[in-house]
Amino acid sequence: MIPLSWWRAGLVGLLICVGLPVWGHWARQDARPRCAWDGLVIDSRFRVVVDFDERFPWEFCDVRCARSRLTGDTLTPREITVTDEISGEELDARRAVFVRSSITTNRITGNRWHVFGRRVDAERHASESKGRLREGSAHPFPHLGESR
Amino acid sequence: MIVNAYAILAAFLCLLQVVLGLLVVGSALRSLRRWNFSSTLEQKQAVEERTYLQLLLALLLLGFNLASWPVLYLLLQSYVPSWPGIMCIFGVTQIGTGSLGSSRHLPWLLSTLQATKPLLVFLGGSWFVVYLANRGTPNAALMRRLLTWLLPLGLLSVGDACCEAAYLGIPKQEETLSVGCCTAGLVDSSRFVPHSLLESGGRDVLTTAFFLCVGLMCTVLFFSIRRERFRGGQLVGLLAGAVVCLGLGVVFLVEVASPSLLQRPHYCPYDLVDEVPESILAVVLFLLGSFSVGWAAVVYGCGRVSETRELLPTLTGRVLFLGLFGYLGSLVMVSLELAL
Repeated sequence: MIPLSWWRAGLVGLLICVGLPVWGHWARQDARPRCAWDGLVIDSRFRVVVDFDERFPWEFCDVRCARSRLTGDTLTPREITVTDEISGEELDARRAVFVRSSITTNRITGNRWHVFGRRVDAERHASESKGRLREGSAHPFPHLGESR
Repeated sequence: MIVNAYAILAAFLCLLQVVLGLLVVGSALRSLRRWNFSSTLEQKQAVEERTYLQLLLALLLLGFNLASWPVLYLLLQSYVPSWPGIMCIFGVTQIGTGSLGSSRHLPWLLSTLQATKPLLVFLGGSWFVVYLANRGTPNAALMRRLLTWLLPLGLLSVGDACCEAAYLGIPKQEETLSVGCCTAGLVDSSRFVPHSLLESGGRDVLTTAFFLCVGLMCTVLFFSIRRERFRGGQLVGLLAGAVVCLGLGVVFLVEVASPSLLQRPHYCPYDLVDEVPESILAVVLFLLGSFSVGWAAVVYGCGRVSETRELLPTLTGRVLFLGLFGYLGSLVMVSLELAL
């Protein structure tokens, strides 16, 4: 027969099991937005937001993370918003000019994609940092135009 | 070889495991021989009196085996910053894959260790419940089984410690061909990214099946404990249920729990150690549930002699109670973690 003290101890143990996840969730709460691919805190200068029709938007720390995440998913994004490195303005990925250069924006992710709102800025960055403009089939999100 | 505090601790534990394992095996063999040659009750009692220190050594070995399991994962976690491009323990487990040097042995050594650690805990727990049953008998009716059980336990402990010592000692710098098309596979950094087991989906079905199975196990365990009468078939059924739950639990942890708790599409339970540490307790409780059912089946199967007839239902019930607590605790924790 199981002694009554065992049932009591079990009940106390279960109460701890209830408390721990709540405490853990509370302790980890952080208002800073995090990347949907690698969990890093998002730097607003390189933020990428992917919108879908049927689910919540995903936020990423840079173009590399967004590409990595979208590669493994069957859903087609409705809209992708990227951030101009110069002005910090958000713009549609179809209007943005992308450059892949030798300059890394994030040492952890190793992102070398750069986003510009104006072609002049993109060309200047490409010439200064051994980069190349990525358009057409080399666009980081080539399927975006087809979905519209 | 990477030397840090955890490596030194792990190496020290290995040394203790080897020394104690050899001592336990040697003394168990000697005691078994004496026990077999004892024909009278007095002679057997004389052997029994000499085994106390030996059983204490075995208990100590059990403690070291148990401690070496979390220390292995703490060691692997401490190795993460040693290589660029590696973000968690999964990456560390991939070091040496495709290497041409001695580090090519690291992946299989680590896989062996990840299998032997839980096996040692299960074997040790099984020995311990038989030991408890034996302590309740007036004439040490289970002494022979207890001593025999120490042989695989001691040998496995020594083997596990040798594997870990080899893992610690092998240089962890990968040697690969520097040129040629064949090296393309070796430098592929995607090997450091964990992959999904169920590429085709079916995660909702998996979640339902997991909660149903564990819930069913809890219900059956509760009524078995309340009834206080156990039959062989009933325990075999419970054991089969525990095995199914364990399999489901592993897949559920990789496919559903890890990406949900990490809030990103990473099928890597190792990340939980660092990012959601309290979820490790849920895993430990789940293992306690599964192992306890196994221990109850072992003590019922191996400890059933005329002298334990009265003691065995109570002991089996108490071990199953631990199982019920383990399953319920993990179910509560997992449900809350997923809901929050």
